[in-house]
Amino acid sequence: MEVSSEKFKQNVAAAVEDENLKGAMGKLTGALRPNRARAVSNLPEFDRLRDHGIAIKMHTLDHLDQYLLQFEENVIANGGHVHWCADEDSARQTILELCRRHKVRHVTKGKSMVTEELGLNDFLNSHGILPLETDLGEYIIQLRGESPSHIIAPATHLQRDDIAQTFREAHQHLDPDRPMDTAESLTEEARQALREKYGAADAGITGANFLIAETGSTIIVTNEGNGDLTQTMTDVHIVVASLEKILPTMDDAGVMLRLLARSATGQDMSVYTTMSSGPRRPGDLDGPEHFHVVLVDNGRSRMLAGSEREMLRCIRCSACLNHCPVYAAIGGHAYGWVYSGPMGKVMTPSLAGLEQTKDLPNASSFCGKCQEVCPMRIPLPKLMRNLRVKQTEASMTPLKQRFFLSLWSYLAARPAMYRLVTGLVTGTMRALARGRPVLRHLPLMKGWTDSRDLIVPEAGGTFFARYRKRQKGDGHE
Amino acid sequence: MAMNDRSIILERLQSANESRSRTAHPGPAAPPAAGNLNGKARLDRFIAEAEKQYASIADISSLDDLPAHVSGWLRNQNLPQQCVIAPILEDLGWQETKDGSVEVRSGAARTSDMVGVSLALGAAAETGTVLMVADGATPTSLNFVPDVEIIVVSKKDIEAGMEGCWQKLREWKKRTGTMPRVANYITGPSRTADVEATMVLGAHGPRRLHLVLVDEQAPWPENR
Repeated sequence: MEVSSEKFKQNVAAAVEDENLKGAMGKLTGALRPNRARAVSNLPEFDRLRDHGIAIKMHTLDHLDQYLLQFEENVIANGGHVHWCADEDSARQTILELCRRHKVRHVTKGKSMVTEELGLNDFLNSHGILPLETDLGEYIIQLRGESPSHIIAPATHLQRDDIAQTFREAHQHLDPDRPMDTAESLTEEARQALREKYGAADAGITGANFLIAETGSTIIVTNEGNGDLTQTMTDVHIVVASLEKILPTMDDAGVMLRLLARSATGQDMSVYTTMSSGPRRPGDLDGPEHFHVVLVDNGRSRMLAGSEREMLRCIRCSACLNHCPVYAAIGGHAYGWVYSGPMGKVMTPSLAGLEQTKDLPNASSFCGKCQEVCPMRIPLPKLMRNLRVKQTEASMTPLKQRFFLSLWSYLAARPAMYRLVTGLVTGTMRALARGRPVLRHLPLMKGWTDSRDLIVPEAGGTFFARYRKRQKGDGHE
Repeated sequence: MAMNDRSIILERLQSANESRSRTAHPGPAAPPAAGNLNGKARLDRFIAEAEKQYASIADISSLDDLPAHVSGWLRNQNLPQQCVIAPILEDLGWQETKDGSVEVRSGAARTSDMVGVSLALGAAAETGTVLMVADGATPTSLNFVPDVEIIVVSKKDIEAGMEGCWQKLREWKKRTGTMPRVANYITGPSRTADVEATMVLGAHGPRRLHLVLVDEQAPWPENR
């Protein structure tokens, strides 16, 4: 998928004005934040399992080549095939060749972020192969020609009316006066629209939440069942997975599964956890005749060698998105690529390069909530800060920003002057506020105050002034 | 091309890890208390968790009672007396049910099938989850294609947590020489929250899940 993160600032300006988006984001965070909190508090061992999971991931990353080789050996023993792809082009070509080899024209797809990364749908379309997304959210955004705005809830930027409108245009054979005003009626309509498609497809493409080296299995975790219909009802099952999805054993997957759903939707366990180990066996009455796993590097090995290595622990639960105040205000599309929220601010620059994504790691107040809720305790603020340092070292930061930063560092190194200036600023702000607790407008800072209120400093001077006054007072006692 | 990519990737991974001190595998994790119950507490947990996930539960003593139970349940639910059943359950005397004869076809599911009946290999009490395996005797399509799924679970196969289920898969591999093509952990009926984060049951898979617990051992080959 094209990266448009260089337009981040324009995207944000548009997003914060979008009332519909604001409503949709409120519904997402309003549901998922309390759900996660409840699920985590119901499992007293959550933190212990979290640390165990991190130890598994660190060990696996340290031995990534060995476990991938073991995985490959077992997939082959199960009767499947493994295709290694160093980059986007190689992955797309490999999948296209597989489709051609098996004479595939219609493809059903389960939800897969790595195929979004590859821009696979557009690519297949341009070669005469027709992919159909079957996850409800993915189906909706495919009809709309949009990209996912959330890694597990791809249509979360939309409200019921938007979806009803999309379905009205797409399903013109249905009664135009049918009820379409509830989540139930819209879900039912998509269910009926997709029902017959699974068996009619020549191949099913799914992603993978985990790959198991011990057994040569791929695992998908879903609630809808579309990923299972996708892989069960066709002759060819193609799994597309990035390298870091590998885990050594089934028991390791058990640890991750206890963390994943709780962190994501707040469920103890998702409805369907499916472990696929090769093609149809003799005597089987259903299932695919062919099983292919496409292993995609596309930047992961570079991350493994670099300072974003810890990001490879990510299990794509979306907790960091759901709890991020920035994501909640701007939605996923503003980030300009497949991955959004805090994990996107690290993934996108790591995979697509810092040059065209330089605003992303800067769009954070470092409140730290993402790291706090991350089941893999990925130090997202630290990783974003690393990226900022890289930008500064490469002189990529804009002139204005560098000017103000040098001004600040000049002042910070001169305490007397610093106190004088901060005292003046505090006083000016209080004078402008004329007794109000917040400033709605500031001269020369319209861009900032348009969508934010600035809290006015309390009376009594700066922190340092008050601290000194108090120290003196204490001395007299 | 792909062969070349393989060596490129492996080389990159090796060089990324070359000068690192490597951490050891932490070993298997102790299961949480909720995934470590025995006896009645385990069974109670399984039932409570499955019901919490919108599955309905029934209890029969012998597999021979299954046809009559299914027929009665279908009537109560206002569903037609028709289902597609897993071949492993085909010898249960479906034709001789006293209270109405439920019409069955044994095999894989088709999109026209309203109700599917299959057998679980195991279950995890911790989360109210059942473990299904793909096999000629238990086709996977039964778990996803019909609108309603009925799953038979032997109480003897209910494990405390997932650990016991992984073990069952390892035993399957030992016995048959291969992993089951597919293993499905299923926790309640299909659902989605893709429209406005509102939970709706019956997204693409079954709208309803009915679990029938049976005291008797399941008719897997090793139990016969």
